[in-house]
Amino acid sequence: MLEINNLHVNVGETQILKGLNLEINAGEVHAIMGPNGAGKSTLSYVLSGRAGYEVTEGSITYQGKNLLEMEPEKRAGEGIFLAFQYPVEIPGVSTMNFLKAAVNSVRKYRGEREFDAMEFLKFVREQTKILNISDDMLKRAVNVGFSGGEKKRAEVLQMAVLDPILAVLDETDSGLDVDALRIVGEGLTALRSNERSMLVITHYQRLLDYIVPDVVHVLSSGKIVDTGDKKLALELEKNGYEIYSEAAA
Amino acid sequence: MVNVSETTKNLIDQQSSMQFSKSKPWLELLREDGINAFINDGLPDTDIEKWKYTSLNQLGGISGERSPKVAINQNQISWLLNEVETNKLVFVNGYFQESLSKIIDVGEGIQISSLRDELLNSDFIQDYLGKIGSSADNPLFALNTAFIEDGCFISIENYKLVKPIEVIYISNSSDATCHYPRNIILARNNVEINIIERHVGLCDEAYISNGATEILVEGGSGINHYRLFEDTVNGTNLSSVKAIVKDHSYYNSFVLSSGGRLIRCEIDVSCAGEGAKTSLNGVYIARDKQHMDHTTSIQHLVPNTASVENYRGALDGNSRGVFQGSIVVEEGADGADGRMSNKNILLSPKAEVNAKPQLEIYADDVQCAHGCTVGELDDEALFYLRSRGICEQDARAMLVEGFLNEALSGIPEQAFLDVFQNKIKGWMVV
Repeated sequence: MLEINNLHVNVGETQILKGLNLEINAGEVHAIMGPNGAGKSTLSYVLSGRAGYEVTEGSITYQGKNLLEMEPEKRAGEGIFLAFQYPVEIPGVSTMNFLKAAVNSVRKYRGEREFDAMEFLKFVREQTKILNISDDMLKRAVNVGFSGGEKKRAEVLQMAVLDPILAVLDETDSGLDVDALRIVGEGLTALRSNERSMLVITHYQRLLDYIVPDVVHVLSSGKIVDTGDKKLALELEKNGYEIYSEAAA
Repeated sequence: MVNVSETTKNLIDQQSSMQFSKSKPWLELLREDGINAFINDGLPDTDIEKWKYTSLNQLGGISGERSPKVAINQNQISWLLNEVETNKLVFVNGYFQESLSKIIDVGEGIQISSLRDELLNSDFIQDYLGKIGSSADNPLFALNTAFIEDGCFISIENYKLVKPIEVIYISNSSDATCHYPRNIILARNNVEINIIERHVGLCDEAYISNGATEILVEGGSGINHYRLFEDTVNGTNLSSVKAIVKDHSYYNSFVLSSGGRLIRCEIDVSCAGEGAKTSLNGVYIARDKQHMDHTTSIQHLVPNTASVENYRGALDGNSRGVFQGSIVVEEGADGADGRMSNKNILLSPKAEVNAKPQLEIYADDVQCAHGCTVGELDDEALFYLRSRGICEQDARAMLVEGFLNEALSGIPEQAFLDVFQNKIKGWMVV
C-alpha cells in the first residue's frame, strides 16, 4: 500500500530525513516513535505534500502511484489524511462549512455524488456522537478558541468523514488529558479496519494502549533504526531512546 | 485657492444655473454657503491631511456637468429588486423615480419620500438640512450642499417599521457627469430603522456620484445602515455620512465596497448623548486599478458612550485600499469605550494598502484601543485546507471570505448578511 524507499528530505539547507525506508500494508497500524528532532513531523508533512520539504533522493509509492508528484488536495482525494500535531485556526470559516467543503471535494474526486446540506448534516452527526462533539462546536470557526482536546477530537472527526486509506496521526495524543485521550483513542479504534492503514507518530505508549500497533519503528536522526512489535513501544517507554543515539553516533 | 482646476471651474459654473426652488431663501442661502465653501477648498488633493492617500485629481475626463434626469425601466434593474421585501426608493442620477419605488409602511409618525417632495411641501426640514453636517472642512459635503435638490427623506417617530427601507442609487450617465443625492434620516422615540442602500451603475462611461447623508438618532432609537457600493468600472462614488447619536441611541453601519474606479466612503459620527453607541463595519474588495478609501471619524462628546470599528480589506491586482480612522474623546467624556480594528490581505504583489488609525483622548477614565494589520494569506491555513481535499483556488476563496466575514459578524439580520456574503462570494469567483 505504501512503500518509502531511501527517502532523503531537506528543509532549507538542513537534511532531516537521511535514507528512510518503510513499508505499510493494507489494514496495518504502524507506530513511529523517536526523540525530538528525529524527523517524525517531517515524514508526516512529506506524505501529505506540504511545500518547503524538498525530496533530494528516494521515492514514495502509494497504491502503485508516485505520491511525490501529487498536489496535497489530490493526495487527500486518493485517501491520504494527516491529523495535524497543531491544527490550524481558520477565523471566519465555520467548522460545518469547512467539513462539508472537504467531504464534497473528496467525494467529487472519488466519483461519488456530493452531499446536499441536509444529507451532510445527517452524515456528520453519525460521527460527532462517538467523538462527543456538540453542534455548537460545528458552528464555531475552525479550531478557533478550541481547547487542546477539542482540536484533536475535531481532527479525528475530519478523519472519520474523509474516510482515508492511509491516516497519518502526528502526535494526536499530545496535549490531551486522560478523558480526552480516551475519547480520541476510542474514536480512532472505531476507525480501524482491514482497508485502512494508520501511521501513528507519538512519543508515548499511552495512545497505543487504545490503538494497538502491528509494527513499531524507532526513528532517530532521520532513519528507521529499529523495528519490532508492540512490545518495542513498552521498552522504549521504560528505557528511552538513548541507546539509539549512541548507535547513531 | 491658487490653482483652480478646469473641473472645479466647471462645477462652480454649473451651480450658478441651479433653478430648483429659488423661492426658498433659506435653501438658496444654504446652497450658497456650500458653493462658497467649495470654492474655498476646491476638489481635495493629497496635500490635505484627510485626503493624504486619495487624490481627486485622478478624475480626468470629468466635465463637471450635472447628470441629466433620465428614467429607466424595471428590466434594467430587475436583478436588484427582489432580494428582500422592502420599502423601496429608487433614484436615478440623484433624481427620485417614483414608478420604480414602493412604500409599504404608512401611518402617523412616519415619512418616507423624496427630499424634493419634502422641500416643495414644507419647511420642516430647514432645521436639519445642513445643520447636522457641515460644509466646513469637507469640500465634498460642501459641493453636495451647493447642489441640493433631491435624495431621500426619512423621518420616523414612535412607529414600528414593518419592512426595512431600501434605497437604490443608480448612475446612468453618458458623458462623465456628476450627481448629488442628498439624504436626511431622522429616528426619534424608540424607533428602529433597518436601511439598505445599493449604489449601482448602468453605464460603462465615467460618472461621479457625490452623495451626502445627514442622520439624527435620538430617544432610545437605533439605525442599522447597510450600504453596498457596486458601481461600474469607470464610476466614482464619493459619499459623506454625518450622524449625530443622542441619548441611549445607536447608529450601526455596514459597508461593502466592491465596484467602481474610485470609492471614497466617509463616515463621521458624534456620540452626543449619554449611552450613545456606534459601530462602524466595512469590507472592501478591490482588483485591477480600483481605489477604495474608507475614512471614518468618531467623536465621543459626553460621558458613557461607546464605539466599535471593524474594517477589513482584500486587495488584488494593482488596487489600492485606504483606511483612515479617527477616534476623538473630548474633555469630560469619561467612561468612553472606543475600539478600532483594520485588517488587510494583499492578494497580489502590486496591491497596496494605506492604513492610518488615530486616537485623540482628552478625558480620563476611558478605554480605547486600535490595531491595523496588512498581511498575505496564511500558507499554513492554505495547506491545512488543501490537505483536506479542497483545491487551491477554493481554499484561497474560503480563507479570504472567512477573513472578510469577521467584519460582518455583527449584522443582526440574516437576510442582509446573506446579501453581503453572496456579494463577496461572487467577487471571489470572478
